[in-house]
Amino acid sequence: MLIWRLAWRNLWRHRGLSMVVGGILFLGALLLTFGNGVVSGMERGLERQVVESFTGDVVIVSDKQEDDAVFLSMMGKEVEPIYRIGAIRALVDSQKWVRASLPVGKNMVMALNDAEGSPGYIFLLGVDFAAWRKFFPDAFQLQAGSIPGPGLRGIVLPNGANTQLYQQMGQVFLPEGIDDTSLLPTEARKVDRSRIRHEVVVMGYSNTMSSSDQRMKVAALGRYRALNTIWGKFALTDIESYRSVMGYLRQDEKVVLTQDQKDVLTSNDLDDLLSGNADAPKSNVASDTLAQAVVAGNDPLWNLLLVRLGGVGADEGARRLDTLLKEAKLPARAVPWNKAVGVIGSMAMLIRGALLGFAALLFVVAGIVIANTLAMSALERTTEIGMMRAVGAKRGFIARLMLSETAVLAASFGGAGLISGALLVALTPLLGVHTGNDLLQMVYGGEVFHPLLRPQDLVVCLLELALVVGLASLYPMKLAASITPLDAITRE
Amino acid sequence: MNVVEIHNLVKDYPLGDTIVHALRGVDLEIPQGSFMSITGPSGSGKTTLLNIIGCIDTATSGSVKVGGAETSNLPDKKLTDLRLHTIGFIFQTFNLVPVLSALENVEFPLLLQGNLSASKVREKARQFLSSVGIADHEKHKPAELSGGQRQRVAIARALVTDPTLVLADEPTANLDSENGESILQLMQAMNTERGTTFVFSTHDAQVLRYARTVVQIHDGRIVGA
Repeated sequence: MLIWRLAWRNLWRHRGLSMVVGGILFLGALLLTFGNGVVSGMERGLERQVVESFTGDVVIVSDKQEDDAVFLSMMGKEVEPIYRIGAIRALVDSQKWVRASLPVGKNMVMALNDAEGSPGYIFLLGVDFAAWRKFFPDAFQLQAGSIPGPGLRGIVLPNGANTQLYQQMGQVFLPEGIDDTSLLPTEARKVDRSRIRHEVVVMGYSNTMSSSDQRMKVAALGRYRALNTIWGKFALTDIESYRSVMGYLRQDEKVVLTQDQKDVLTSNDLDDLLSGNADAPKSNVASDTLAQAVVAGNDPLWNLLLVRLGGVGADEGARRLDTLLKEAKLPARAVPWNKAVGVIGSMAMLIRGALLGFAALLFVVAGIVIANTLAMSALERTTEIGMMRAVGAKRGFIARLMLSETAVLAASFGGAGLISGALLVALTPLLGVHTGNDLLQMVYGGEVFHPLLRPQDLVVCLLELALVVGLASLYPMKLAASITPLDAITRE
Repeated sequence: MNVVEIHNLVKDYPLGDTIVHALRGVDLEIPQGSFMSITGPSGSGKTTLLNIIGCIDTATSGSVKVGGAETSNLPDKKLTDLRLHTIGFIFQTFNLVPVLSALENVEFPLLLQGNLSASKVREKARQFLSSVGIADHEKHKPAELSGGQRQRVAIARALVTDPTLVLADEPTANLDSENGESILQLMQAMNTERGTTFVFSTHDAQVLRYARTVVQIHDGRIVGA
C-alpha cells in the first residue's frame, strides 16, 4: 500500500514527466493495437480473398507435381493430373477436421484466333459448376449470361481473361445474344463489332496427353469479388470440356481392357512389345489416354483437390493430409494454400512481416525512449531516493517503487491507448476507405479497409505492452536501486 | 556499555589523481545515553565520521562497531537493516519525503520495518508527532511546514523506531536561533527521558552548550574530547 501511495503521488508531483512517458505509452499502445488490428484484418481478408474464394485451405496435388505453386506457376507450367482421385477423396473426406473437398482441373490453355492473328493464353479451371458454387458461394459475381447447368457446356469468362484475350488476339467475347459492349473491359469497349465473338476455340497444353481443340460457347461474363486482377485471369469451364481440351478421358469414355492388355500397356519391357508377341489392344482412343485408363482405373482425371478445413490451420492440415496420403500409398501430396498461390502467398507473408517488423521497431524505439526518460527521472530524484535509503529503505523497495510508478503509467495511459486503438479499429470500416488495387486489398483485408481485433489480439496487445514496459523499466529500476544515501548527501 | 566503538578508522577518497585523507586513524567510544557533539571546522571530517557511524559510508580501514555489530564488512542489506532498526538519522536539510504528509513521514520507517499493523503504526506515529509538538500539522506536506516544523517531523521520524543511536548532522544549521534552541531542547529531553544516545555534528557554539561531551576533530584526527 505504501509503495502504491508513493507511486501515485510521485507521478502527480512530477506531472510533466509523467505526461511525457504517458504520452509515449498511449501512442505506442494505440499504434500497437491498431497495427495488430490491421494484421488480423489482413489475415482474415486473405482468408476470404484466397481461401474462401479460390483455393481452399489445402490443395492436394499429384505426387508427380514438382512445383507447389500450382495456381500461379511460372510460364503457366503444366499441372500434373491426379490419379485415383476416388480413393484420395474418400480418404480426405473421412477426416473429421475436413469440412469439404472440391476437385478441379487447372491448366493454361491457348485460345485460337480464327482471324489468323496471334493466339491468346488464359488459365482455365475445369469444374462441376454446381459443386464449385457450393464450395465457393460468394466468389464470383455474374455480369451477363448464366452459369451452365448440370450436363451443359460452356465457358465463363471473367473480365480479366477477356481483357487478356483482347490484348493478345484483338477479339472480345460475349455470351450469345448479348452485344452490350459496356460489359467489356474499358479498353475493349470501342472494339469493332466484327471482332466480337460468342464462342472461343480453346486448345490445351500437355506434355503427356494428346490435347485437342474444343469450341466453347461463352456462357457468361463476370468478375471475382476479391483480388479480381489476379483471379480474373482464370476462366471457368465445365469439367468435360476441360478434359476434352486437355486430352483427359471424359466421364463418358470408359475403356474396358483385358488383363493381358493392361500388362502390355504397363509393361516396361520393349522387347515384348516390339517382337509382335504383344496383342496390342485396338481402340480409337489414343494410347496415352488408354494408359491413363489403366493407371487411373477409370477414375476421372482432375488436377487439384481443394480442401476446406475446420478447426485446423492450413499448415497443420497439409501436414496431416500429407502423412495420411503417404501411409495409404496414394499418388498425391498436400500443399497449404499460401504455397499453392506462389507469389501471392509470399507477398502476403512479406506484408505481414513488414507490419510486424514495424511493430517490433515501434517496440524498440518506445522502450528506449521510456527507459531513458525514467532513468533521467530516477537521477533527478537522487536526493529523495538516497534519503529513503538512509532511513532504511532497501534496494528492492526502491526498485519496486520505480516499477510501480511505471505500472501505474502503463495501466492508465497504456490502457487508454489500447482502448483508443480498439475504438479506432471498430470505427475504421465505417469510413469506407476503398481500393481497387490488389496489393492494397491484401493489406486492407478486402476492397474496404477493415482492420479486425479478436479477443486474443487484445490479450496479445496487453502482453506486448507489459513486455515493453517491463523491459523499459529494467534499467531505470537498476539505476534507482543503486542510488546510495551517500549519493544523496554528496548531492546536497 | 558503548553504543559505538571505533578503532583506527581511516577513510580516503580518490579525487582525480589525488587521494583525500578524510579520516586518519580515528579512535572513539560512545557510551550509551551520551549526548555528544562532534565539532570541528569545515572539511575536518566530522560529517564523514558521522556517515560511517551511521552506515551510510564505509571505512577504508579500521574497525567500526555499532550496537555491537562490526559494520566494516557488512553487505548493503545488513547495513540498511542497521539504519532501519538501530540508528536514527536527522539531516541538516530535513530530507522528508515530499509527497508524504508529516504523519506519513513519521510512519515511513515503521512501515518499512513491517512489524506492526497499520493501525498500530498510525497510533505510534501520532504519539511521536505529538511529543515533538506538531500534532496539529499531521496532514500537512513538508512544503506546507516551516523549517522548524520540518525538523521536528524529522526528529519524530528518527525516534519512532526506538533506535539505540540517533545521529544528527548539523541539525540546526538551517534554522533560526529560536527554532534551533527549541530543537536542541527537544533532543535533550528525548535523551533524558528515553536514554537514547545522541551524536550530532556542529560548529555552532550555541549548539555546543547543550552537549555533555564534545569531541574535537581536525584534519581527520580527534584532537580533543
